[in-house]
Amino acid sequence: MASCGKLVKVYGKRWGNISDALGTGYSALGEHQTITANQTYVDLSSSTISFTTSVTNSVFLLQADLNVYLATDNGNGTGAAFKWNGTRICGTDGGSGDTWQRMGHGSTGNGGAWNVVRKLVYSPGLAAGSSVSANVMVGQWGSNNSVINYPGYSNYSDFIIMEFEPT
Amino acid sequence: MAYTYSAGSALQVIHNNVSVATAYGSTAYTYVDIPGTSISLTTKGTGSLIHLQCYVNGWGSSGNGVNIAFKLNGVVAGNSSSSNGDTWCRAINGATAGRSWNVGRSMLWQHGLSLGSPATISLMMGTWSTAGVSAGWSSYQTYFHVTATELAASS
Repeated sequence: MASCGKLVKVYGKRWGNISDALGTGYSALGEHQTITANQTYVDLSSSTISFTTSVTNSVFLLQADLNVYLATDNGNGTGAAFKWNGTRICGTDGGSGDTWQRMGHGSTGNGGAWNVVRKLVYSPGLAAGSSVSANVMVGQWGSNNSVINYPGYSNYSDFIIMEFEPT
Repeated sequence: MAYTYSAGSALQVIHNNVSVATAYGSTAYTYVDIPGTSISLTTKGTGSLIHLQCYVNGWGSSGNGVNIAFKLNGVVAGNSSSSNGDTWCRAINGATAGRSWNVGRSMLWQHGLSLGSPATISLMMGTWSTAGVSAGWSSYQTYFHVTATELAASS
């Protein structure tokens, strides 16, 4: 349960294999990443947003719109999480974790491309003027290869953080 | 090169709920308009950004893939190319049988328009092949939504 006041600031990051901000053309920028770790969330290196908080005790809405491809068609699944100032603030590693729960889990034939949307409301209790570095993480289960922004195509992903005043 | 954005408070929010709309993939690798999804606004700030959000669901009988893109003052935020486009990469690529799908998009648009300029936003669907992919599905009730939130320039 959370509540907040008016929107104060918005920060965004778009990364991928695109030649312009709208992704109307392809460019081999190398802003793609393949996750192979089993049951472990991994940082998306191009997703980091850094900023300074505007108000004390603000509330944040984190939104990720990810372009993910499961390169191995075994249906084990993948998931997304967020890291905030070096600490993962959602998502669980390991055999009872949730690295499989956002898409692609199921029978054979569930590989391919997916739109992974992850949202989280977070109230870190920071003072105004605090430095923040946040990024998206992706996890997977078993022998999948989760490819973010599959290379060779004009794929891109977005990460947006909204800062709201406290109630 | 990644693109970074920052903005301030909300200036206006425009929302469109489309109770029934159907668009079929008619040309391979190509984005087509989704009828009824258009919204229009007049900018209220100089140097503002627009936060775009949408939700679209549909059905496809092949596993060649589908994507949803925003159309922004006539420019498609996507790539209709047969060699390196992105019309396949948000849903049902890799499926071995027909299946329903949903795509939720969220992105910031740095429009570069001056105060008082018109902006028109709508949704498009892209497919990698034309085989039976549809946003919505005829004879069944569905709805999509598209939301545009204009954000003041960052101070």
